[in-house]
Amino acid sequence: MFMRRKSTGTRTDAELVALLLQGHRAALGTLWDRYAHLLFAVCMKYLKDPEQSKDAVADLFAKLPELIMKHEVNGFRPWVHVVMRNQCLMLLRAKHTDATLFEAQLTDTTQDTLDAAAVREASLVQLEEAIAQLKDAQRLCIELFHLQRRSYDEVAASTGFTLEQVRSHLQNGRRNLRIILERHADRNT
Amino acid sequence: MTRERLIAHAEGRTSARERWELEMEATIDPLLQDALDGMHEEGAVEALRSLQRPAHVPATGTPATWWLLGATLLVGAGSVLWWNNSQQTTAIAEVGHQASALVRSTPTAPPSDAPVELPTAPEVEAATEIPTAMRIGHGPEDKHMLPESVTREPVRDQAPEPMSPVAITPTSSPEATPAPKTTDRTKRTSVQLVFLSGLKLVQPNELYGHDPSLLSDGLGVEAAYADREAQMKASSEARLVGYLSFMDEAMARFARNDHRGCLKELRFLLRQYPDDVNAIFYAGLCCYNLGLYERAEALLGRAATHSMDVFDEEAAWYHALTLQRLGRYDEAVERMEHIAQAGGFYAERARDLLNKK
Repeated sequence: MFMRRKSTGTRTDAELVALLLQGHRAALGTLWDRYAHLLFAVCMKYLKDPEQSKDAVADLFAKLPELIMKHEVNGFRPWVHVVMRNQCLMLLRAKHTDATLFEAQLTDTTQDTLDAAAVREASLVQLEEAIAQLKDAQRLCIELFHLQRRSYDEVAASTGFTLEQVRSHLQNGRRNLRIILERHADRNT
Repeated sequence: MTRERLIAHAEGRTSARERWELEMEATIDPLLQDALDGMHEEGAVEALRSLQRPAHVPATGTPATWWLLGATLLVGAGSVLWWNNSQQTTAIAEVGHQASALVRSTPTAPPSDAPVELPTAPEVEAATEIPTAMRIGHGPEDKHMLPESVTREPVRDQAPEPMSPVAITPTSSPEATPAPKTTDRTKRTSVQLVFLSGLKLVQPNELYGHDPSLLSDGLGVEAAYADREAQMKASSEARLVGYLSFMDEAMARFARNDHRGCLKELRFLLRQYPDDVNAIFYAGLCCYNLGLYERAEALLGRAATHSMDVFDEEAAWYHALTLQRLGRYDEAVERMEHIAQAGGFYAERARDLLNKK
């Protein structure tokens, strides 16, 4: 006779959230396995302190069952990211640390995500036409990263730009591509 | 994204290709982007290595734990199980494992709304081809290898709707609309097929309503150009490839038993078109032939239940064989019995395997 036990390891995030809502705490363990290291690294970006970051993640997971009950979680990954980030920003404000730079970046991050998605969704023919309309530095970085699939450090090495410049050119390039692609789509409708 | 992979990336122990893949993924995943940024902070790597589960977070059962527990149970019940199994599964047990191996009750296919997880680049590189005699997908009598004179599947019940390409949406934008769902699984009337290197494929028009383009791998571009512009021009000329041209190369690799090369191509396609049934099916075969049985099980399981059901019979058959390889004999028997009862292309083979003394 076999002893069977359902494993939470292969469940989707949505299923784990549902299990947690039903009181199955094993789901919390699986969510920890999946996300704790990522959330720790997120905390490091904002808090820049390893011990404080570890504590922040542990606190979040202590409150997670309660938070999930209070909020409607449609996508666990983006939701927990926002929760973790907000928790970090509150800690920074509590320490009277200037969090305004991080807060200003939040809007940029959302916009960049949408820009990047638009670039990935476009057909390569449309993309090539749009890329040709970019400024030199942006065009070069977009071609190397998106079309030739070079990593950031390879792009930096090829172009002589710093890593920050590469990311900036890519961010601006994607935004401009999105605008060009939308303009093209409007003309065709 | 595992802890180990995150640390390896932060320490610069990943290949350029892997770095690019991660950076590309991060462009539509703000959580990942923030995490990658955070790992550059001083002390992050050491601290992450020592990050431990707090007491209030329960531990999860690991495969090692389950196998250990199962082995303990089997010591007491082994002889009874062997007698029971020998009546029905002798042929399957002869694959090489004890028939009394614990069967895990993990799902045999990923949840329908989750993309199939692909083997990672390091997995593919480290994999070893299994012996030729054990490989699958190359038999001249296999259903997906019918002669090229066959260009249509038999007429079935309902007319298909052409599938729209799967939109790649940001993974973390709350406003993003979900990727369009494929149509319900229905039997289709005529489906245009094409055979490349003697291997069956669904015509891309049937999948996407048009013939999509892909970016070619570009690995063949000489790196020794002194002139950067000349290099880019040369690589740009190789960039755009039609779907069928791309698959022609991939299928040629499969046909000559270059499963690693084929799988690399198909991984690339699946990143752009994650629900492509052609790529899912043949990636499953490649994984099996490279000994990546867990990956093969997931891919073939998806191909067997895909809404474009052109590969359903062959995928179900190979999926059952993969379950054998994984030691999941009860599930393998169940599927073989289903195949035998369905009376389809592989019914006789399934009966032979079930009845083999």
